[in-house]
Amino acid sequence: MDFQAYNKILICKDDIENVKVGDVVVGYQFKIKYPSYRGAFLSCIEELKFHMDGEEIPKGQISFHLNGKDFLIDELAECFKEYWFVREKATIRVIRPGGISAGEHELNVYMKHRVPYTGYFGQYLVLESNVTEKKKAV
Amino acid sequence: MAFSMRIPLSDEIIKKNSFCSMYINGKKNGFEFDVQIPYYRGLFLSGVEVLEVYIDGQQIPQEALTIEVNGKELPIFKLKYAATELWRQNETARIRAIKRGGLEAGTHELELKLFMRIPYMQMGDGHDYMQMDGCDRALVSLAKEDLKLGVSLFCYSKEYGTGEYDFEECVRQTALAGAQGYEIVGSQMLPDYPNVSDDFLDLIRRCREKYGIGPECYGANNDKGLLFDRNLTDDELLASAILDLKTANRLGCKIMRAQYMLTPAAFERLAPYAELFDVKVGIEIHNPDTPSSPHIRQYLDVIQWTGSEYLGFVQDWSYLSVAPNKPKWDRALAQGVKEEHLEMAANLRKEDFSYEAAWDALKKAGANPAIEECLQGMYGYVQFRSRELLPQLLDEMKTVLPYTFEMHAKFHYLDENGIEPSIPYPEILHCLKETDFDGYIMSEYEDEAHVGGTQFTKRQLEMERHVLGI
Repeated sequence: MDFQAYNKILICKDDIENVKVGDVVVGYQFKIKYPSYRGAFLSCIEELKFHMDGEEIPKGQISFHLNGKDFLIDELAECFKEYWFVREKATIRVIRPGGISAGEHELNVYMKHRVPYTGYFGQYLVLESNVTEKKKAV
Repeated sequence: MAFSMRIPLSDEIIKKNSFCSMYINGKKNGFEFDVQIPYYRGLFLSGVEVLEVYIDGQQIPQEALTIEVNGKELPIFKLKYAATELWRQNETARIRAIKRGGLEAGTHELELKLFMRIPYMQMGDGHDYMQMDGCDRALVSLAKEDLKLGVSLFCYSKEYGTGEYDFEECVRQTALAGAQGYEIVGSQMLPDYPNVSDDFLDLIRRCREKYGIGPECYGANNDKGLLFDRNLTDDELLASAILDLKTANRLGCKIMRAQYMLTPAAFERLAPYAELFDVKVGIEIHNPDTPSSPHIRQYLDVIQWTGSEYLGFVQDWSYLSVAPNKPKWDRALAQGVKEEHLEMAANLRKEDFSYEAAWDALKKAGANPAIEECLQGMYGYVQFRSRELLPQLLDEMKTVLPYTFEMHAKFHYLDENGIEPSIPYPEILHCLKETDFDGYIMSEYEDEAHVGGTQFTKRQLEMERHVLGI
């Protein structure tokens, strides 16, 4: 199985969108999928980082939205009951007053994740998915 | 015909493994097989003086017999006029016999009477020539009819993962490939994994109505590494496997594939639950394990000790690999690795050098570092054994056959002639068809090349039907 081939589904085609509360732009959001042939429990994600235009997004400003719930990045390790279906998009919301400027941006997603049924040779297979794509913000 | 000559060029005149049923209007109504002449040179078809076929002692009427040479299928009477059709000594002819109702599964005695005139050896006056004696007798076999061909929806991982196919399209493609049932990997296609929702069961039912096939086997994972801080215990893996049984049962599957993470002890404790849910649990025997690996022997002990009909194996034919994995080899070549270094790696592996020693030797020989992935494969899940060991491996396959619920017909590539470069399908299927195995052969395409499985899977089932004669 060539797991790395699934990195190309990590960043979804959807545009980056600003998030409004009433008339106030409070941040922006984009979508990602789990990069594998199968789904995973969120507890299998060991690290998840984002860079926008080369700058790391502080994890305190991020909320991970899946299955109708919001999680902090630091909570993911404990989410062993939260299943991420391989065709389900997770929404990454970034709190940033004023949102993001319209036009092209460079998004990098880095995910380190454990494949929980491997380990035949003594260790679990831990994959690093590291994908950078140009995205449009609208 | 006082004199005749026979110069066998191969062990077989009748090619036993080519024997299969012939279908007329979708029903078994005859049989066919390949023949090679026992002579050092080709002979023209006009030289055929006798060509008769007998099955279990009964002669096939001449009008119900044809022979195909050079892409032309001819009735027997025309052969004597075919002075321009050369039957080459290194090419087989296909003989087809119409027999109403066909032959029953099992072993049959096939006899070929074949005499050909050797046109340059005149024996006396008139038209009297030396004969080539091409007669042969062989015990041939046909697969049991209840042997079934299926497809694991895992074959369409790329199409499904990238959104090209939805679940229904995977089932439709499976039906188009000619499968009689499918396997579903829970963690891949169940949106509510490890549970299954009523909505999804509805979808399964609708697909069954439309395409005539349903899930036969549930591919369970035993996610021992689920938690971030520790492994799941045996008790926890057992409890998870019981929930998997429930899901398998709700889907209508009679078989569940489990993996080595479920320890032999937990496997033993699963038996009464498997019986309750009426789902048989097969531990997958997957490369690098073979049926005789110590680890697999422990499961066999449990199966024999409990005597439970609900515990057994799913054999994944990856362990019958006898050559390096082609997609990995090709990828290394594409990345600039030299073929000589790949061959060197394969030889080092064959000679049982350790991974580290092989890596060192390759580095010293100046191999491109991109060879690493291919080398890892040779020591990992796509390792291969020497071709000479194949008979022994096939014996291992047969040893655990009484406890085998299903076969995973693993493949990574299939050329247009249906050849998997690393897994010798003709030998495997011929070996299987002589046994009384009557479960599913479930095709499982492992998409190393990431090109999608639709075409390959169709090809694989075609090849299987051809070799098995079903």
